[in-house]
Amino acid sequence: MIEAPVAAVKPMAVHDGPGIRSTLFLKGCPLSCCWCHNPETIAPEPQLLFRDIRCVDCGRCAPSCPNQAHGLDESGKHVFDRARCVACGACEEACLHDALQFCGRPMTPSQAAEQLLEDVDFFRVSGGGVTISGGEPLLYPDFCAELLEIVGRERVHRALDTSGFADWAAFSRVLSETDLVLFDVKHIDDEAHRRYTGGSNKPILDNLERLADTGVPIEIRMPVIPGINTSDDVIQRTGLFLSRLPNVTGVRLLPFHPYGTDKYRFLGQAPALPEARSPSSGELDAIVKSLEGHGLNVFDADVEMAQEHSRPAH
Amino acid sequence: MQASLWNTFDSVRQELDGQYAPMRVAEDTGLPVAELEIQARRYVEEHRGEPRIRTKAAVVSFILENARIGVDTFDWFADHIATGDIVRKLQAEWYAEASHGIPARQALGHACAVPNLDLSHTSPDWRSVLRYGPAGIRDRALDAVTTAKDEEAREFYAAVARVYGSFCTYIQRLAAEAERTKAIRVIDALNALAVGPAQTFHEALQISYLYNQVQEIDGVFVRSQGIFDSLYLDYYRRDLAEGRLTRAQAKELVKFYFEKYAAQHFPVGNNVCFGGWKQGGRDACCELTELAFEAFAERKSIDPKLSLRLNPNTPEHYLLAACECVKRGQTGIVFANDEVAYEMFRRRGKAEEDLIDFVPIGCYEPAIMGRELSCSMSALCNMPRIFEYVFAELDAPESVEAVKGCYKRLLRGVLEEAMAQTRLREELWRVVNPSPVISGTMDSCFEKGRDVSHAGTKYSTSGIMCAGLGTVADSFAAIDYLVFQKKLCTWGELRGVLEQNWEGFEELRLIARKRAPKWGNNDDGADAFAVELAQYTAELINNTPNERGGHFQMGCWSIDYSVKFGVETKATPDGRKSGEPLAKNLDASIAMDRRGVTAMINSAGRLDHTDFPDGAVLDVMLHPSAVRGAEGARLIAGLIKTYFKKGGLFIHFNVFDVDALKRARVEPENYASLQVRVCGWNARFIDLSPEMQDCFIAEAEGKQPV
Repeated sequence: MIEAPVAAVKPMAVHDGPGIRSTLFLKGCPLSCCWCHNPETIAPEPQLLFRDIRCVDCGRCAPSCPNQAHGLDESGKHVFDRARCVACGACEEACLHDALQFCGRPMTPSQAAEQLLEDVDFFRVSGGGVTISGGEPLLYPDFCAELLEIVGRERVHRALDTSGFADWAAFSRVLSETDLVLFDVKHIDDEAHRRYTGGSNKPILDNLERLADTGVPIEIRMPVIPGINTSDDVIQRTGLFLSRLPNVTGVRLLPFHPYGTDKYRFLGQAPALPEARSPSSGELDAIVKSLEGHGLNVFDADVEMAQEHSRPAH
Repeated sequence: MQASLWNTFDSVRQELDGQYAPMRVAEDTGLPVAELEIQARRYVEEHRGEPRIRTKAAVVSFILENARIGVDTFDWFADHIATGDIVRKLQAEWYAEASHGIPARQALGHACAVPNLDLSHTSPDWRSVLRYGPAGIRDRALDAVTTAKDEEAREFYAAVARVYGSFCTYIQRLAAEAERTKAIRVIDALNALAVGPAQTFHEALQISYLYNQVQEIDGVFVRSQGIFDSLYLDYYRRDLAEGRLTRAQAKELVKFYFEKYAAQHFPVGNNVCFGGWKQGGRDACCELTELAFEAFAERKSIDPKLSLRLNPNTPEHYLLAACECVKRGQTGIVFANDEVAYEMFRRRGKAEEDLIDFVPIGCYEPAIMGRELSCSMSALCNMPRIFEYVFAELDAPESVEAVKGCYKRLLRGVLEEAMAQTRLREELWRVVNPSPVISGTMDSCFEKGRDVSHAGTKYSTSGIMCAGLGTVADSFAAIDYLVFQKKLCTWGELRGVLEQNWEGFEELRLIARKRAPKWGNNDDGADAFAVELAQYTAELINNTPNERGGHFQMGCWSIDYSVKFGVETKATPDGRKSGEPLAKNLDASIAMDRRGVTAMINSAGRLDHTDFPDGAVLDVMLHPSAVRGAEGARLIAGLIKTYFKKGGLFIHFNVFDVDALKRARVEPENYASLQVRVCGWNARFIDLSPEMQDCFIAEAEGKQPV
């Protein structure tokens, strides 16, 4: 049976392609970008998010845990021993304050489709549909292909949101069932790409060139992290590269925001990029102008939009 | 008109806004208010034995001919008259006199339903106002007097002739005052309207406003200004074609006209309708719709509020223009579904040819303009409060079915008694407030020779506002979950917990709130209760005759009674504490629509909205980021169209984020323009009561991404 671990299903996802959409966030990513604001989607294994700010130290979670990972100390304060946690998810139901969240429940394509298609009437009316995002959905090409095929029977729009860091075979598995690819270009410089994302951009850019020749419409997504990928040189080279590709509908900028920082703590991790800041509107405008100078269409974007876009796990 | 008269709206707007506070009238134009009242009361005393409609007409007539008046030189519309609210005072006295001996305002000893005499939810026949003008209606009535079929008809026609004759005199007086003060913007229009119907766009708007005012002087609120684009298009086109007016000038007139309503500071706003099917099945949206929405967008005001009737023939760009306003926070627009409204009217036996005149009355209560007196708040029902009596009555129910059976029985008793008591009050209308002004606009009143207070209207319906459906559904779902499915407590224990307002039972309360199914999440566990209870209530209400020759009608909305009723409602099984708000309109309980707007729409779409002839509305709150950018308006349109496809009747929006609301509380001076859609009207957030502000903040917080 084909399954994939699901981080979240988000209805009314209005910035992941045309119209009103539902987006499926799969868990697991071959990259680990230091600015990632959804760190819970990096590891493919299930994880428990402990939202400490919501915990009221009621202790209701303690008896639900088979491994005594939850408890109260002498002062009555909740203690979570993550080393004992096997992420079974049993405590999620016990917590009445939404402080414990299990992430990574496996689903079959038809289970996912059922949830996503709950809003099929909205998709039909608005020209929207379903987006598969991640993590990196192409870690699960069979799952994606089957899901897209099921959704396709309802004649709604289908989009795939990918980092591009995948085997071409995975792309070719899903392309015939995909109406739009949202494709990340994070850094045009390979050395920097390796440093900040943990992987080379070579397969990504190769895949992008190859994808552009297939005829499927591509929307480029660029995270904007001041000091990392915003120099004029980087933007010019990116613009030049993209401007030569056919079938690119445009570029959407995703300005960095610090909201993901809490999530690292919820996962018991240190933020990989604690010092980063959001780009100013002036910085964004300059990037837009540069890209437009290469004849590219840049979708209107602003900081808040990016915040909304990148919040799958709730 | 001279070019120099134009382009002044922005510069005089502040004066326009303050024109009634206080109203400027000239001392030498009539009697001071105190003297006016003395003389009016003397007349009433001296004519105690005569038919009330004659007395009423005489008083209104006396006011129109003798009150002090005034005209502003900078305004395009004249209307100042100092009446001292005499009719309203008399109305209250006549009501007290007539209702003496009628039992107090509660049913079955339960305070769950409040009977009422609703004189304030009406729409005149605006077409008659324009077609005949006051002089024409007066002449029509004078003709009818001579052929009246009976004494009552004769009295009726005489009363209409009298008030409309004085209406003409009032306009003549305004015209004279305009000449005297050189208020050149209004002189010509007033002189024309004193003797005949409106011929130009300017005159049409002027008579519309004056009519509105005179009907309200007659003691009956106007709660729909009619279908604006259909009513005024011909005047607009003719003026443009004949070079009397430019588009920009017409837009300025619309702004002045809108501002007139805003200046009254009527807290729940004035309702102006647009669009809708017209004869032949095409949509009525036109260049005037576009112009008026531009005026709405540019004024950025909470009043008037707009209604846009949509159908499959509505051109997309009109809908998008309205959605663009919503997106930018000008949310004073309710979207209405023609298809479902028509189907509902047909079920209620309304004639096919009348349906094109569908207007929302007040906020979103469907009615036929000029042919229906819908009195949409003839009784009010607090549905969740019935549970207090269910717990008092039931000892150990075996199933949720048994609880439901008891709830229905009590609800039936409460509503039947409330309707019986409302009927007693409706009978009083004839003596409390016979209404020759609105009656004079209605063909059916002319045909029957009867005032609206005596079944003169073609359709006389009485709406019952049923508040808190979401709380009812959630309470049943919680009872089912806690007592019968999970057996976390017994019925008796739950009763004890509710009596103690959940104190000491926080865990159980959280389970009720967080684990039991909730209305508004597309979850059958709660939605099925809502569907069943709504249908049961509708059948009961809609089949009960009222006292004015029609039927009662169910409304599935609450307006701000979600808060008012909440205050007097004890703890409910859904985890709600005593005094907290009920679920508003068709909405989920505050912050309980956890699966977002699409799930809420899916839930609301399960109800049969044709069961709600007194209206039903869904409030949607969106975070600004969801509708930002070029696609934002299209997304709002997508939500509306999907809701309507699912059978929704009315929908409206709020667009804001919780941070803005919180900041507005601390620094109101910086948020003077922050609008909220309260219920069926808009208000500035900073003007809301702290309790109401809390509701919006709690609701917005529930929608924050976490």
